[in-house]
Amino acid sequence: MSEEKERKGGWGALIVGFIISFLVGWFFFGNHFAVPPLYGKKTQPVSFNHNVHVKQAEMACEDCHYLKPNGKWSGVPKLAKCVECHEEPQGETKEEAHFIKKFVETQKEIPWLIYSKQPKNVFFSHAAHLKIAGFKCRRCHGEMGYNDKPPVYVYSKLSKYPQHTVIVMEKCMRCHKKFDAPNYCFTCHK
Amino acid sequence: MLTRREFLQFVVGGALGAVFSPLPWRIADEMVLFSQRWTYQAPDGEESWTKALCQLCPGGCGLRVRKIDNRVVSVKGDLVNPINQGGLCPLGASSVQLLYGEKRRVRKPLKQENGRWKEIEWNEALDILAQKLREFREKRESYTLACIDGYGRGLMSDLIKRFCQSYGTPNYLKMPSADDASSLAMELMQGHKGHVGFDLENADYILSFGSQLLEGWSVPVRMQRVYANSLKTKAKIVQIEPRLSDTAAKAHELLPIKPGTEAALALGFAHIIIKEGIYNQDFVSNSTHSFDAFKELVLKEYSPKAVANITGVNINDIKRIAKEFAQAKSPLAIWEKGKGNIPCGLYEVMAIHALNALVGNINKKGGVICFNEIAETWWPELNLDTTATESLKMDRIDQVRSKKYSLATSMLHQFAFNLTTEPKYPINALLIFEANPCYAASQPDLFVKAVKKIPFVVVFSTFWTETAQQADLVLPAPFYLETWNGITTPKGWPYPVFGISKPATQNLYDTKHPGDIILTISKKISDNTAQALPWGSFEEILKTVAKKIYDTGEGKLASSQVSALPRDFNTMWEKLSQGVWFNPEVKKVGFQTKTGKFEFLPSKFSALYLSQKASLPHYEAWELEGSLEEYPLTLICYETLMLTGGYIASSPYMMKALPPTLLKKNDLLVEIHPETAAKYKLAEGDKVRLKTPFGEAKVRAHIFEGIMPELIAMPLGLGHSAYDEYLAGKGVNAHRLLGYTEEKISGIATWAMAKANLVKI
Repeated sequence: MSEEKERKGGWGALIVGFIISFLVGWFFFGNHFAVPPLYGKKTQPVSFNHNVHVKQAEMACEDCHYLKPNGKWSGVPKLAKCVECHEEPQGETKEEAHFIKKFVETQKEIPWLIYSKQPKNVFFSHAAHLKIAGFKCRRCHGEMGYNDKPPVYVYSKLSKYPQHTVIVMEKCMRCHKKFDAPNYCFTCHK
Repeated sequence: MLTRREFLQFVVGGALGAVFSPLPWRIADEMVLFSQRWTYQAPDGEESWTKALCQLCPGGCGLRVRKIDNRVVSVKGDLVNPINQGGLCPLGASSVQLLYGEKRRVRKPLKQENGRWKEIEWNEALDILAQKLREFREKRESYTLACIDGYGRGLMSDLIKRFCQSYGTPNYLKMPSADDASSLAMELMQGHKGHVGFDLENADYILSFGSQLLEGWSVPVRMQRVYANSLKTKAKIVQIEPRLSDTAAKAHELLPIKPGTEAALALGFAHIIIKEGIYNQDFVSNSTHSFDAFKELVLKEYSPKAVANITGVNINDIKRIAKEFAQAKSPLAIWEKGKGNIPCGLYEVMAIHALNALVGNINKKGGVICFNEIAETWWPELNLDTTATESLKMDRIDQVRSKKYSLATSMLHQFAFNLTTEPKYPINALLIFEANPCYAASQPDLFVKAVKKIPFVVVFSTFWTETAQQADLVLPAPFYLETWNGITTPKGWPYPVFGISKPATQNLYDTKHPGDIILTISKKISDNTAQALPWGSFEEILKTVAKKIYDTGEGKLASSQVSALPRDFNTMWEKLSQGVWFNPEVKKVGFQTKTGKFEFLPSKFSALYLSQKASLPHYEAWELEGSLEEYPLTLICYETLMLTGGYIASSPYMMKALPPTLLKKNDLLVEIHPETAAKYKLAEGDKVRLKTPFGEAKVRAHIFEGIMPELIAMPLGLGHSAYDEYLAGKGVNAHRLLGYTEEKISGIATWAMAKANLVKI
């Protein structure tokens, strides 16, 4: 009887194989857990607090992130901008002391990890999205400007691109379609 | 125990599971992103623009330099600059590539020890240099130092000359160029030692004796404009050349001529002009001397028939062109072959310039313009001590100033030849300033041999050249975008120009300006050299010259716009470092000869006791080495816009733009006429061994109807063994095959042609 059953074959091995690779696939390749060997995690060189700057120091987003007169996006501010206020320590936190000692005193630019890093062959214009489409920062950058601590920077060790925040072409195109924006190759690839 | 069936089930299950997980999609995504890892691109940063003046050729074009933070990312032509008016040549456009081409650059002072290179600090390098030079001078052997100047003209060249004099060495040499014959002819016929310009923009008939205008004769950007101009104003350009160069292809007419017979053709033109009486009677009778002697010679010996025989040019063409030339409103005859780098003989220049005198276009709009430059004449008087004066009296190694070569000013070929045979005295030290004679001297192998005989060779160089590899000490010079520099009037420019270029970016490597080095060591060598060169830095010299120019109150400034000179010098200096000074209303220099006239038969020749014919412009065939049986063909060289022949070698961009009819992988193609090819049974691309009395090389044949039969043409500027992988090992160095042929009277050596033979392999 049991021999016959064996010959007929159960589906045990198939299910085991399915479950193992399903779990392995989700655990190691889904970016939710972001574990090695594919993924790595980094923390920002300075634990920057957006909330403190916006609420306590009453700064506006545009003080640091703005469109230049030539239409170029300023991006992340340079150290010089930080030094305008942080020449002396502001507050007595450990992070502040570390920031002053490591960057302000040595006049070294902070090697920020850019969450929205894009491949070089993509031409992205902030001006078009802010001025023409009238988007708010939140639509693409989410709660990035309202956090107490920068999120962990998860990146792929293979391609070196950030994972949680990077926008891939499919997303760009979907959104362009939704808003009836031009979707030609040369719209983004000059 | 796992059965086969279970195993297969497991695998299939695994595959299915994977499909329902992110794994395959992530991997596909990763592959896309991985493939987007681009080569280095300048980081985002603060954009800024600054101005600079290009130093890569004697042009000195104005540039606008774009920077992102501290990195130079591009250069563009400066619209306000009178020289290039916004234009840029391929070499200038690849400045950024040369600046950051780290494999090509010398990055630290290097010392050769037992055949190995050792990086040393500047203090040590300068100490070694100063100590050696001081030692020779104290031993009263100043003359055993030789200097080779790669600039050839301008402030740096004058600074080196001054250093040599105050140090006490007569052995100052220049890299040979077509300038040698030009300046000598000007001195003899007009008594003029200053600048000679050609007003090509306003000429309406340009007779070019082998000058490759469109390939970049003297200032490439200017020539492109002259050509554009000729289309607008209908100025006629007649090109006299043995092959269909780009210039010839775009000229209104091409007269194919046997190489080296240009002088005969010029005299043939003179024959017609004089015989028909269509020369400028007013100018000839009032402002020239010894016209009758010239007339007699030309009428007797250079009839169209005789000239057609010598040159291979059609008789009717000679007659027609001569008349057209003489009857044009402002005709101009120009010389200097290639880009103005390939020398022609003294008599040749005299014969061609005699045409200019016949039509009387000297110091006139659209003619030959002579003037003196402040940048050349401002130097204070030199006071030499006895060591220097005694030592300067010694004979030169290259025999310049000797009885045989009394007209010559610098003979690099004789220098190399004499050093390898029996020099009168040994040369203890050789300083080479931004030149590459081990590649670009005529017969470079001979020069390498000569260099090996000199115990102490110092090379000042930005690039890792063939010559730097032979040195004992290599002192890295900055690239022009990293340092203070000045430009003086570009070659052939019709009015004086002076410009200052301040550093566009900080020094990338541990380099020092050769001018600064000369000034530093001269203070360490002796009081005399220190007194002769009192300036603290090269920048200070530039400032002094600028002040002298400011004091004259003449000319205009072109910085953000063209304006008159400002009220105070500081503003002028500020504006000058963002532009150039120029003076179109310069005072022209008339004839400074003994007779005060243009001399067809230079009175300076009387000291040489020459026959009447030998004193007049006449045609002498070059005495090429080798027998006609062994070498029945003639090899000529040419230049192209995408190749540079000297110390500043072609950039990678330029090498990539070479056509496959010139360079195929690493093989050079030489141009051969179909008739000649048929005679040698050659087809396109066939491998041949090209032989001359000086050397041989394996090349490929390119069948080309644009070259005269019995000739072979090869370009200058290939066949490097140094620099980087874009240059090394590509093609053949034409100098190794062409060698040189010397003109007896002037000691000028040309590498324009050589006898040759082909053997099919």
